[in-house]
Amino acid sequence: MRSPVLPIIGFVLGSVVLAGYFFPTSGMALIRDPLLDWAVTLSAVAALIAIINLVFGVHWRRLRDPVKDHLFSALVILAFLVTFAIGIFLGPSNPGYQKVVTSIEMPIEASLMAVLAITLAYSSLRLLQSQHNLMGFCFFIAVIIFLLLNSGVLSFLSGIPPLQELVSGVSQVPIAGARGILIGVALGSLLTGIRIWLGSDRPYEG
Amino acid sequence: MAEITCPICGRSNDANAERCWYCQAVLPHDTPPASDDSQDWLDELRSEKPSTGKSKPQPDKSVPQKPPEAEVPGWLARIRLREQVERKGKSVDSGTSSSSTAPESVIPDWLSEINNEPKDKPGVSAPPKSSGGSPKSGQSQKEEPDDWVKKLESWRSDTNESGNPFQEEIPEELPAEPDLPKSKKPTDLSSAESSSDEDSEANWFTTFMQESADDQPLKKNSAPQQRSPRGSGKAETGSLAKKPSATTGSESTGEKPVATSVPEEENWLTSFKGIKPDQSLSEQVIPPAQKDSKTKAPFKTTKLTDWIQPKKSTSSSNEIPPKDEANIKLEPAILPDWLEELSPKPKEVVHPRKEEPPLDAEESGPLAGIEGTLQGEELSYLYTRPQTYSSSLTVTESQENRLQVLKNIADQARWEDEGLAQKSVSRAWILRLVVILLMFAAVLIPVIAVKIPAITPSLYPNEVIQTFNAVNALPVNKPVLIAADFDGSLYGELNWSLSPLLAHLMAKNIPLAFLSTNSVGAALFTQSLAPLVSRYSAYTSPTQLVDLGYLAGGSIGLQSLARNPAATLPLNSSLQPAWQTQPLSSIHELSDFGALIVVTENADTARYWIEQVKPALGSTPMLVVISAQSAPLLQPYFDSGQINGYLSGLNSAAAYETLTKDPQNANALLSTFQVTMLLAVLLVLVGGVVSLTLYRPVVEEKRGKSA
Amino acid sequence: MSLNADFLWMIVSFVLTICVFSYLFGDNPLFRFATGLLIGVSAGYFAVVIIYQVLLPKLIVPLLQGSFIALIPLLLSGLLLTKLSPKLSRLGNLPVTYLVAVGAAIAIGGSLLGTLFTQIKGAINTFASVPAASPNQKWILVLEGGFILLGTIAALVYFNFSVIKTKGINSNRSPMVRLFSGIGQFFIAITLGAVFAGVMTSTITALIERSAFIVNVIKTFLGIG
Repeated sequence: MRSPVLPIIGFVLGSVVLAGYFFPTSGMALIRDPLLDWAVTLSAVAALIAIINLVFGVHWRRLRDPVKDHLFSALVILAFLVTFAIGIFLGPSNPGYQKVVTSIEMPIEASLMAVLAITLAYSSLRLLQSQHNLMGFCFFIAVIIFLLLNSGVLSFLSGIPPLQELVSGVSQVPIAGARGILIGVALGSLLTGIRIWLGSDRPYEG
Repeated sequence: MAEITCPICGRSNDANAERCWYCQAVLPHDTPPASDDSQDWLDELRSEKPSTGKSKPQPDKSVPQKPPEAEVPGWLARIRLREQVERKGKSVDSGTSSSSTAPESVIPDWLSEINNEPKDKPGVSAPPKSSGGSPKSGQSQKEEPDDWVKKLESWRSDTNESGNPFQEEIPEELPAEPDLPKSKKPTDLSSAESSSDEDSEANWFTTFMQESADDQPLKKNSAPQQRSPRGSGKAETGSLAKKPSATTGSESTGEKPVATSVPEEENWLTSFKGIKPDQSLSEQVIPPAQKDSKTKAPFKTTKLTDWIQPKKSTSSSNEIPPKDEANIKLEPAILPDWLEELSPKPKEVVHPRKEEPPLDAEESGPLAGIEGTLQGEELSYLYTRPQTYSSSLTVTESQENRLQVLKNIADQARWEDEGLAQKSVSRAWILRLVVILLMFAAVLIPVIAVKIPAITPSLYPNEVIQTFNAVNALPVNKPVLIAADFDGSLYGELNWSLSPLLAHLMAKNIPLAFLSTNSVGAALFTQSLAPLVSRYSAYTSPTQLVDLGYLAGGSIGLQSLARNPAATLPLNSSLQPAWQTQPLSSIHELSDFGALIVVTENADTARYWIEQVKPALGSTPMLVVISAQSAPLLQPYFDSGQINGYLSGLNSAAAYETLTKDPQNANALLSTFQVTMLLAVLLVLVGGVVSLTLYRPVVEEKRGKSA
Repeated sequence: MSLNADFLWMIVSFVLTICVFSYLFGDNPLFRFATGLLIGVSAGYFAVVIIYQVLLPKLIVPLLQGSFIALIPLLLSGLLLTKLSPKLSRLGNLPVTYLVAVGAAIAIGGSLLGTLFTQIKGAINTFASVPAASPNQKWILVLEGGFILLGTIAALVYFNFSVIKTKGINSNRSPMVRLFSGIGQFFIAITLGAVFAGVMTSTITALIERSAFIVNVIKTFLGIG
């Protein structure tokens, strides 16, 4: 039988934090606020552990594997070490050090997104190739309409009130579906949170 | 200390012991303590013999353990009862110790035959006569107590000559013991040599029957012990029952000697309910132990003779007492296991090994034979030997032939398909190249060469107007908190949307404080501020612009910020206290800010800010700058009033620039944006039409084929 | 100096942009170099930010200032570090429990109070303004509100796939559920179409931005205004 200690601790901590939502001005804030503050610190430490594991657990192990590609992992480790070393000396608020972000990270990420644009345009040619049904056709029509709306080329219709109302109405249609999706996501988050809070799910063990 | 002699092995045991320490035989507590003189009790028996036959048998006292009445089978009870009745009758009539004669008179033929056979068969010494067989035999035993021993010895020598390995080891006196205590003697169904013991069997048998009739305690299991000594050592009553002649043939023969040698007992035997003279008595009656032991005794080692020898006198004394004495010293109820296995149950075939299991007993598995168990499923089928698979690939000749045929077909078809595969690859490449060129052309041509006029909206989206109005209504003295939660992937789009908003704020000289739940957000926001800072130089001062740094923890950090921002982010990016100097010195909680502006490309990040921080803002407006990809999922929040306004995409940025009358990059690139978007629409439309027209029939054909 | 530095960084950005664009013609070493560099630099920068902007101000500085309460997060952080070792990883279960429990409570409170209640209220908000509207607008508002409400409910019903299993019969949802599910599917298709269009819009914007950057660099290189 698994030990109930950790679920009990989790339940108590979760109860204290959850009570703050419903009783914000109570004396429990004295306990709740430090708990949240420590959780912020622990989150940062967890992120640091994840980075260490990525660099020294994954890529370092790949370097020692005779089969895997070494160059990629070597590049990752080298880039990490150089960036980390320079950052420790200069600090993250240093304008020169921030060039690492603005001149290396940002261009690569933005370029990846730009390549995605061409890929999406190429794949949109086959939008209806496999979806020969009503829903696929609705999706196809919706894509075209909202591409036109997002581009702004239909703004000339604003001079015609009925059409403007139609355009305005059409742009409101996604609200219904999005609201349903958001409520569904919220319900899922709620149920998952309750399961973890009550100890039904124990992702922290092992 | 008082001691008791074991009737089986003859060794001394503690007086209080119930079982012999050496052979585990049941100790008769009423027997006189062990003494050097082993003949005393025999003499006593001889003297007591005439008088003890009618009374309640002394074996009752001599028998240390009397199994409960429930263990006594019905047939035995009937036998005892009948015997009692007859004895009483005889005692009244004659007063003689001729009770043994009664059983003698009803001894069936097979029993008499047992008594006669040893005389007939050469090399087989006559077994000692049973004490209950006849008064004659009893008398002879009285007069010559050692005769039977001698006979046994002669028998023993004879049987040794016959080559029975078991008999070589059997002591002389052993065959005479009708009711050996329980001992783990394997039964041996060596058949042929049993005939020599028939006479002694008969005597023993009658004596034994006398004892049993006098209420000898018999265990339930030992009850069906009335088997023919011959052939019964197999302990499978069924086999004996089925093949009584097959075992030894002596059962049938055994019946005769019993019947002839002890005619007096025949009456009581045949008068037994259920006893059928025509059937083998081994199925119905307990055979004398001596016979069994002689032929089936398991004694294989010489050391057994040690404990057996003292038995000599005991067994002989058991045989000697007449039926009248009812074998006080004997313990007929407790038989050795091997004998118990031999003895059949009345009216039913007993298989010691294949005993019919009780109704609720397991028939197989580890609990076989145990009663009262829960019936489980047959587990034997579960425990199978695992299949072993060979690691080598075995290919039969037919498989090889078929493989060759397939190879030939594939080789023929390959060169035909190669062209098609190449064609499909080249087609995809061409199409991809065309799309790339078109997209770059749509982007670069308006930027480089042709200035295409953009279609500017005359009416602006509601969310843009709300944002503009909210910023317009901001108080100047209250700082605005900006959450720069974006990364470099959509930095361009967000930068175009953020710039006019920041310019609007800076134009009002509103102090700004920014943080990020993203590690790179602060750096990217600083870059977005850089061109504006050069325009609005006041924001070079830390009193107008504060970098609160990185907020870890995601939604946990946001909740902590909502509860206590000063404790959550105590220091700025320069590790200096942020909340004690301007512009944050007047801020104690989030609602003290003039507005909260969240800049993100991720709908989930916006959702976290709305869920965790918005409740703490109160009346403070919350504005969002979001990318076009997440705008549909943010619309419900704007519709429900949780956010006061949002900017999404280049279109909104251009509209905001128009509203603030500060055209920047958004308006400059609007034409390029519109052209590229129209190209995308065209590609989607063409692709859809082609898919609907060209691919539909193919799909239908495939469906038809599959159907 | 700064101009040269800026120019150098611009060149670096340009090269990296070209390296990534080379992926349009297939996977190649340039692209892999760019992605490897991205991963390493991102990890290094993130580690520096964590140390400077979280651990220092919230852990080290309070300890140096004599705050003993900071020992608790320090101890928990130490236990969390044991997660790096397979043998000692069990010691890290406590801080992980702490994080997960607090995160779960945050998720419960946020989804319940931040989204569920407000969005349900928003779904019927349109009807709240009906009494105050003009007679002409009333019907429009009612239709609009009803349309949005119907779409919201139908979208929720679409994601419900529970069926009461009936022995011997091909189990299926009830006709009413199937009807609403079909309507919900329509609304979700439109919403996802809008999302896809938004994604295309954002990516096209990124393409424009990068293309504009390349043009600017080339112009700068060539000395063209």
